[in-house]
Amino acid sequence: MLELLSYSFMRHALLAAALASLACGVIGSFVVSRRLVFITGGIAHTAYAGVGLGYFFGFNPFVGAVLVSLLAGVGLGTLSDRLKQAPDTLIGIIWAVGMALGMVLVALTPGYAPDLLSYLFGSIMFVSLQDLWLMATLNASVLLVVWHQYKAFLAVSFDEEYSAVAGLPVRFLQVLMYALISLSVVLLIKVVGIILVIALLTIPAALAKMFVPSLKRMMVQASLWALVFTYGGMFLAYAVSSIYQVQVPAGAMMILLAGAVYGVALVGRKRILSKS
Amino acid sequence: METIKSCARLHGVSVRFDGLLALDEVSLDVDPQAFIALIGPNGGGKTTLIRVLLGLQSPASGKVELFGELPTRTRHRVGYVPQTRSFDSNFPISVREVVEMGCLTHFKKRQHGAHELCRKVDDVMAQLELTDIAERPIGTLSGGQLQRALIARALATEPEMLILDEPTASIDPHAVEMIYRHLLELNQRIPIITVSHDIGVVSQYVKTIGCVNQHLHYHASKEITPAMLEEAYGCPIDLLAHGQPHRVLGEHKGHGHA
Repeated sequence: MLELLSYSFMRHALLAAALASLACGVIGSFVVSRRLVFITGGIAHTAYAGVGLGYFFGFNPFVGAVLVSLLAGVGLGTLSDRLKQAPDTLIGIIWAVGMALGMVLVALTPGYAPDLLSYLFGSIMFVSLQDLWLMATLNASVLLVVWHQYKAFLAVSFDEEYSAVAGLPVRFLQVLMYALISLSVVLLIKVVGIILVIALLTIPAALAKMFVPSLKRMMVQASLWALVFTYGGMFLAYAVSSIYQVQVPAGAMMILLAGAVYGVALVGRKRILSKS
Repeated sequence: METIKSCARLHGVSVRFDGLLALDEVSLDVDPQAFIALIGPNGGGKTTLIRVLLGLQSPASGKVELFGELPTRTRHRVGYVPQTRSFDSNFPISVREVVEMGCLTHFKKRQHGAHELCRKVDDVMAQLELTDIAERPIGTLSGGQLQRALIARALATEPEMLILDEPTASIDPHAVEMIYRHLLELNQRIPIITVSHDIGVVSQYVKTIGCVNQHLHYHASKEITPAMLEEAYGCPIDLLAHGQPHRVLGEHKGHGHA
């Protein structure tokens, strides 16, 4: 096992997972307690349009994903009121359109066809040093903003209308929150992929919500759960791969592990509650 | 020329939702001593009226003033207690954190120190008998406790007026009495507007009552005339006034406001 650490791709994978876990715990806690899971899914899938743009116009697809998901997140945050459309309708639309645009642009790009599956399910074993720096920077900005504006975010997340009356810049804080969610989504795409991003933002925070009563503690515990799932998933992928002599995607294993733990916690908690 | 300076004023305010008239030419003056209860059927526009006052809903026509200015500029001076169903009562947040929200903008504006902020929060919580449950998550509170936490949050802003939306909805009579006693005490300093569907209880405490049902039937008095109720609720309601001037017993009490 330990000789794996001598490979740089393995060290990169572990670092990337740790960075992602921190963002998952913090942003996921907002996503779960504010019920923004669907919006997160929308942003994650729209990001694929950015990937397509990157390939088509020849710039880093990761940068494309950052730009498009930011645009989608901030757009959803500001437009759903103004367009008088139900937010979930808009989310459903950008979800599908973003994905389709990405597919078409990738198909139109001549030469090497990028691996769609690696964007859908992540490619944690292929994280470059440059990716790591990018992730670290994104992570640092997300955490810094949340730390600085924690109380305002808490207030707006809990009770938007009261916050407006109290004089908080509610609209601005909301847009900022959507921007942070978008950045975190992109951060996670590298590790677990577009489809599974939702799980890592949702399951650790939902688990933590079962055990702790405050948002702050939820963030800490969710980060720890995310770490357990990402590292555990990688280990499971390694173990299963060596048993079956085939390549098993680590991202998918992380989610299966997280889903299993969540299920066990849910059932166990119900048992405990019904006994007491 | 005005003789009494009013804290809040609606003048000919109409509100439409998708063309549907929610409030029709409503006018109201709130003086500094006011303790007004707004009653009326569900969907009659009580909540809309206070949302207009707070600048959360802009009127289709008419004029709104809060402390002589646009509500959006002055609403931070109001202590607002929203309906409990306007937020998620299972949100992971403690009583103390809720009350601290009240100090948030205040804190920044006046550059209070963290110590002073803490003391303010402690004071308000003690005043509303919340000290023992300060660290409890709000999901575990009773209806009365949650309402007191929301009132504490409103008071932590050191408000110049209090606006409450259904502060006694679905809580037990003892807790209702406790809340209104707090409000009575506060009314010695600041004006209060409260929305309620419980005519019997509010009439014991407030100074004036208005009925809202698209129109506002308000005569700056505590008397509710049968005509007022009939107009507001759309059905005749018996008033039992003899010997109990503050009690209103409605035969149709359950009508229109389940």
